[in-house]
Amino acid sequence: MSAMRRAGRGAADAGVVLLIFCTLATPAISFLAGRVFAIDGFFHWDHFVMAPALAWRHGMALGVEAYSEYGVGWPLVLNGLSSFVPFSHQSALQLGIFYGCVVHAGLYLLLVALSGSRMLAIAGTALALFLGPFAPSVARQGAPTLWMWPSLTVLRSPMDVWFFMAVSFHARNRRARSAILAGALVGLALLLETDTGLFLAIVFIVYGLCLVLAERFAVLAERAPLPRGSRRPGLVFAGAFAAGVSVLLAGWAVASHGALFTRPGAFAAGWITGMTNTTGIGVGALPFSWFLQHHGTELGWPLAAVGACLLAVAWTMTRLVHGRLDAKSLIAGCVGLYGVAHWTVFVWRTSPLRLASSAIPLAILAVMAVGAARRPRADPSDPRTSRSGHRPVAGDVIGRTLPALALAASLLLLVSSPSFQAYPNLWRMLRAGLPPAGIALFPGRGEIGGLGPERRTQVRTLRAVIRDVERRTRRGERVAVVDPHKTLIFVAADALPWRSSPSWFANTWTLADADRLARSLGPSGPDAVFIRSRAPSRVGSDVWRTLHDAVAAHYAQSQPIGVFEVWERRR
Amino acid sequence: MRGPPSGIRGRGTRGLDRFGYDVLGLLRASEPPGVPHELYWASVLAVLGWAVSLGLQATVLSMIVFGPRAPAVAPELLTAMGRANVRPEWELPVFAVGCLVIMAACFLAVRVWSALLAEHPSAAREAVRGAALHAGLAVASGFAFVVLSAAVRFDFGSDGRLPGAAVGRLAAPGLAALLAWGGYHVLARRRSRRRP
Repeated sequence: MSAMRRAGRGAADAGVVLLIFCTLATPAISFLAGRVFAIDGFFHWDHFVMAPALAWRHGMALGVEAYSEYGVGWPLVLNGLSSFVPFSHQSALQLGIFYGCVVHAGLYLLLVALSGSRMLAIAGTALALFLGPFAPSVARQGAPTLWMWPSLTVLRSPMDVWFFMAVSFHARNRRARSAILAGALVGLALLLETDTGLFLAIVFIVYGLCLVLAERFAVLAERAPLPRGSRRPGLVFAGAFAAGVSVLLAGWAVASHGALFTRPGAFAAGWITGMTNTTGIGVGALPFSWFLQHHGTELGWPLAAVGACLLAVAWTMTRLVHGRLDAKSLIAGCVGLYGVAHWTVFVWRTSPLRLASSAIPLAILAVMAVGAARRPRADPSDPRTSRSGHRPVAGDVIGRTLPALALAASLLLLVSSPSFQAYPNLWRMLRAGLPPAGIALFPGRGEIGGLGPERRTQVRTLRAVIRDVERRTRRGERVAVVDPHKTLIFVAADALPWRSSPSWFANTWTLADADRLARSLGPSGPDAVFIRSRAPSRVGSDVWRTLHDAVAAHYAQSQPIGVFEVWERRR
Repeated sequence: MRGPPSGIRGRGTRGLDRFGYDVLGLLRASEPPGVPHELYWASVLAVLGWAVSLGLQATVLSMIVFGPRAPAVAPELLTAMGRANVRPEWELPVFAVGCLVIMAACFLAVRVWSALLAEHPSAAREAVRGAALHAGLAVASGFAFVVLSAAVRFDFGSDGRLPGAAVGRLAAPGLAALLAWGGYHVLARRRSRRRP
């Protein structure tokens, strides 16, 4: 390939990456943060990363002293970056969106490597954006962006693109370093997100097993086995395992502030609790019957999605037992298996929004399928076969047309999505201008802005509470904020929270839990308690009543701040 | 074929290794003679599509039928938040088992299909016919399942379960595709015996 051509391709790739950033990044991050605050109060960000990050920042060991529902890695990343950007909800949102851009750029490069077609790779990336961040179901839910739910974005499965990149390199060239890199990425995935990390670990084990079995089935079929690359594949996979375990142990040691070595049992139990805590009693589950009742017309899409993943796995298995497993079939099977595993996130809570989390495996499979369909395998005995191995008949016409059709269809889907049209990215800014500045919760830092005048009182109250919490914690007092905004308040005050749980009301499922919480506000409780004079929501009213009664029994009321009552310990 | 093929018998294929080859020998499949390579794999894709489509319909139906399970905590011991959010269900284990069953069904369907082609005197023609039938059944039954579940307003009981009649209605496309598959195999075997 000439240098000119190579430079041209490099420039085209850089251009596509720039387009991805222009599509997914937003120049109006403060406005977007304000919309998330107004609709959701950062409830999901608190659970996903902010509450555990705050607890770790103030010396609490994740998994032992502080509950971290999804994994222990992101809280560490957020704290690590706090030397460069403020430790805040808006920074977390910005970090998430930036990482989303990087992952989709990586996805584009992976698709180029898998399909050999830039047009198909752009089509696949546009499809992933349409199924993921710009899924129409987001707008149908009345949400400003999928970033309101970080657990449905690429942050939930942060390593999959890089892992499949490493695995596809290994499947083709069998270099030991690709396998070791894949192992390290699995370790990092497990550190960042427990459940999707486990999915990748299972996929990697199956990948290794397939390589071993492929060789044997090829021998049984008296066919040439796949190229081995290394003389000691067992040693390579042991190296990959060691790399993964090293990354995981190092991350755990930091996340637990060393408690991993002093209290390993407690840490392991706390680490896995994130996955078992809700599934154990069925918190947050939504049955399939609910989906049929409310979204019955949308059943085709989830069935087609999981069907495609299962078909990829079945295809790989069939090629394997025929002794004909090739690198592409193996990768397709691994991506399919990962997609099927991801579908459990949807099966658990059967909401259309949850399908967004399987966007990337589906986009990879779609591109691989179209890529396979566009290249008709030439029969060497066919006289029409050219020297390049192509058959210059109908297949070539299809081969030329398919990528262009796929690109047009995926771009049309993307730009017609209401979620894309409502998202404040560069394209929308160019069309509609900057969104209104509105009121900002933290005007000094220009954070969480775009709030309407109806929020003026709430903003004033929250600022006053934050100032008071900051003042009290600086004096060495222990402060409890019994409110849905507790994590936002403690993050803004950069103070150690009384109890690390992200929410008092939303995570108290049983009356026994409510009583336990009430007792914690007893004689050995905090020095001051902030609690609203009325229940913040109807469903949280019984817990609020129990806690309010406990506070009133042990504390004396001080000067209230807006809707917040301030109680101080009776001396 | 049982055990390693002739070329590798002897060194390194004794004991456990030999046992491994025996097990893999039971699982292994081969392309039937008389069918062009590309045509065979296209027909295999159609057969897999048929098995996945039916298996998925059965899995979704099972998830609906098994659906909710008895809560581990009595409702009167839950807070209002708990009562609004605690909905224990069987769906995850049913889905996991369903996926394993689908893989087993795919494996068996391909075996049956390969065996049929291997015995058939005009295997290439049968491969085209069978591929079209399997693909057609996969798409048609899957489409009918989706349309039925979208078009029919189901009355779920207070326990979140679907009445038997509605389950039967949803199972109809899959059962019809299974019957059509059975009928096709009977006819194809008859055809293979009739022709010399």
